[in-house]
Amino acid sequence: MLSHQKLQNTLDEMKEITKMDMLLFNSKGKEVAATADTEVQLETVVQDFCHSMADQQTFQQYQFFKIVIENDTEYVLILQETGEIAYTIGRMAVCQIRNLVMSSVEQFDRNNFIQNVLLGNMLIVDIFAKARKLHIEQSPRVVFVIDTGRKGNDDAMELVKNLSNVKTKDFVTSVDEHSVVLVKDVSDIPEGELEEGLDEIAKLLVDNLHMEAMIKVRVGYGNVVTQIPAITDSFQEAKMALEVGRVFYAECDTISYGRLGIGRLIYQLPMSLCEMFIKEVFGDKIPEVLDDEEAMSTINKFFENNLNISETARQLYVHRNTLVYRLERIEKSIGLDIRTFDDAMTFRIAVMVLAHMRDQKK
Amino acid sequence: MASLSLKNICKVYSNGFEAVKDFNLEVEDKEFIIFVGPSGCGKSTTLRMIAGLEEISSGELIIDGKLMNDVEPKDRDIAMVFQNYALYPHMTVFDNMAFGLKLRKVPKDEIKKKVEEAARILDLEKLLDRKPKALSGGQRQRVAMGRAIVRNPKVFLMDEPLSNLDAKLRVQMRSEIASLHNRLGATIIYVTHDQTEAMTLGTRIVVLKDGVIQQVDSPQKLYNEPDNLFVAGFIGSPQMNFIDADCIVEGAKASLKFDKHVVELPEEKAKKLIDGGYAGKKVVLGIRPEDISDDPEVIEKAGDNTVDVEITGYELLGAEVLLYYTIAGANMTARVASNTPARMGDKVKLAFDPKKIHVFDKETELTITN
Repeated sequence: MLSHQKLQNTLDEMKEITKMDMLLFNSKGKEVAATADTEVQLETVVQDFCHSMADQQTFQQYQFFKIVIENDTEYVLILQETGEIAYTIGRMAVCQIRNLVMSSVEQFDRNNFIQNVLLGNMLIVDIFAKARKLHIEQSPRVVFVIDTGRKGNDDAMELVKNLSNVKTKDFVTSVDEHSVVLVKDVSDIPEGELEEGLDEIAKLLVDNLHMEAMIKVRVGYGNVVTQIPAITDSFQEAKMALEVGRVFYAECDTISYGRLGIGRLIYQLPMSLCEMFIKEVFGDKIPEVLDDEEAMSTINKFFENNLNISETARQLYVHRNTLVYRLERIEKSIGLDIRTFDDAMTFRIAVMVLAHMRDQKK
Repeated sequence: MASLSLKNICKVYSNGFEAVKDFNLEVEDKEFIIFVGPSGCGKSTTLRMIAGLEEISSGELIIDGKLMNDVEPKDRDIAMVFQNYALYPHMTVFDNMAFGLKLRKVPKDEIKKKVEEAARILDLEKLLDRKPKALSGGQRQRVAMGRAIVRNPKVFLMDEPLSNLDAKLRVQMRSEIASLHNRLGATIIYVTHDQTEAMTLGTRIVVLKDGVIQQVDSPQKLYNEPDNLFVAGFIGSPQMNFIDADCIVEGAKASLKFDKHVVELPEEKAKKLIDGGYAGKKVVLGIRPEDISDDPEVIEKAGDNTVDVEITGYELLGAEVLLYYTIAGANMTARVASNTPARMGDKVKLAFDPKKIHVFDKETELTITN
C-alpha cells in the first residue's frame, strides 16, 4: 500500500505551505509520520478517538481528525494548533491524505486485479464486477510480454511504465521474476493498421530498453482481445510466442503469436510423434552433418536462395561444381536430395522438429 | 573516446543461421564508421554484438585494449541511439534526458550538470521544460541524441537513427550528426542501409553483404575503386551500369565487345586484363552514369568508344538529366547536362569515358581493373 515515506513527504510539504506541525497515527495509535516531536504520550488518546463517534476532537493543544477510507478509520491526523484556521487546514489535510491513500489502494487493486486476470485466477463474473468497481472498461487490448531473461526487472518496469499510458488505459505489471507484462489498450490504432502498429510497439519497447536500460530483451505479443477475461488468452499467446521464437526464430527479438508460422505447429507436437518422424526421416542415427556448421550454413544459404545452385554458389564464393559436390555429400549423409522440393521441405521440417526435441530435452 | 578492435567476430544463432562471418575491423579513436548494406546483411547484428545486446559466437571484441566479450552492456561505456526511439510522453525534455542516468543512480547534481551540458551541445537549452508533444520532429530527435550524450560514453552506436524521419528532416539531421561528431570528437559506429547517409557521414565505410565484409574504405575510394561488383553496384545513385562483354586482346591492346559495340581500354587497364589471362573470356564492364556523355565535343574525341542507343526514359532533375536506354539487354542510365537535346524515343550517340571503365571477373565478381 502507501509507503510511510510518501506520507511523511506529504506532511512535510503541507507544513511548508501552512507552517503548522502535523502528526499522523494509524488506528492502533502508532505514529507513521510527523513534522515535529511531541512530548505527550498520544497512543491511547488516538485509540480512544478512533473508537469514538466524533470525526474531529480537541485535546489540550492538539486537534484530532479521523481519516476514513471505505468506512474504516485508517489514520488519525493531529495538528499541534487549535482555532478556526487550524481546523480548516486540518480538514484540507485530511482530504489530501484520504485521496492519496485511496488512489494508492485503487492502484494496488488494479495491479492485483490485472495480475489475477492474466493468470486466469478469477471467475468471469468476479472479473466483470471488479472491473466495474475499478472503472476498467472493455476495450481492444494486447498483451506484450517483455522477457529480460534475468531477475530484478525494476529498471525495465519503470521504463515501460513511463512509455505507456498507465494512468488511464494501460497496465504494466509482472507475474514472474524474468519478465514485465504490458497490457496495452490498442483502441487508438486503426483496425487496418493493427499488425504494423503492434509490431511497431514491440520494436519500440525493445529499442528503448536496449538504449536506456541497456538490457537485452525479447518481446512476444498475443492477439487482440476485446473482453477483459480474454486478456489471459492474449497473455498465454504472448508467452508462447516467446517460447516458440526462442526455439525457431532465435534471431528475432520481437515475435508475434499471429506470425509463428510452422514453428507454432511443430512446437505443439508431442515428443512421441516427433521421435517417430525423425526416425522415419533419418533412421536410428541422427546424421552428423546436422552439427556441422559449414554444411548447415551451405544448406541454409541454398534454402535462402530458393534451391538455386548458381546463386547460392555465387553468394558462398564457391564454384558451382563445388557446391554440387557438397550437396551430394550432404545427400549421402542425410539420405535426402535437398535439390528437390519434397526432400528440401522434409529436411527443413526435420531440422525444426529436432530443434524442438532438443529444447524439450533441455 | 576510444578505439575498437573486432577480431574474427562470428554470430551463429542456435538454429544454425550465420548472421556475421569472420568480421575483422580496427576502429581508430574519433572515427565515424558506417556499416552499410542491404537488409539482413548483418550490420545491426554486429552493432548489437559491440553493444553486448547480442552474444558473440566466436572472435574477440576489444575496446580500448580491454576484452569486452563477457562484459555487461551497461559496463561497456557505450551509448546507443536506435531507430524506434520514443520519448517519455509525460516527462519534460530535461527528465527525458535524465531518465537513463536516474536508472543508473547517478547523483542529482551530476545529472543536472550532464543534462545541461548536453542541452547546450544540442541547442536544447530553451526547451528543457517542454513536454515531447510540444517539440518538432527534429527537436525530438535531438532529445533522443541527448539521452546518449549525457552518458558521456567512449563509443556511440547508432542503428538507423534517421530512418523514421521524413526526407527533409533526414537531410537536416544528417548534417547535425556530422557537426555533432566534430564537436564531441566522438568515436561513432553508425548503421544504415542508405548509401547517401553512408557517403556523407562516414570517415570510413564498411560495406556488408550476407554477413561478410565486402570492402572497408573511405567514401571516395569506395566510389572510385570498388573491390567487387556488389560494392560497385551498391555505392552510387543511380547505380553503376553493368554490361556483359567479351574481352578481345590484340597485341598489347585490349577492348571489350558487347552487342555490336567495341570499347577500347586504356593501356593500363588493358595490361591488367592481359596479365590476368582474360583474353577471349567473358567479363563485366561497369561504368557510372556520369561517365557517359552526349556532349558532341566529347563524342568526337571518343572516336570508336561510342554507342548508338534509343532513349527509353528521360528524367529532368534540375541541374542534370538522367537518360535511360538499353544496351545488349542491360538497362543503362546516363547522367548528362540539363541542356541536352535528347528526349524520349530519340536515337542518340553516347560516349563512354574509357578511363572510367571498371572491369569485373564474371565468375568471382571481383574487380579486375578500376
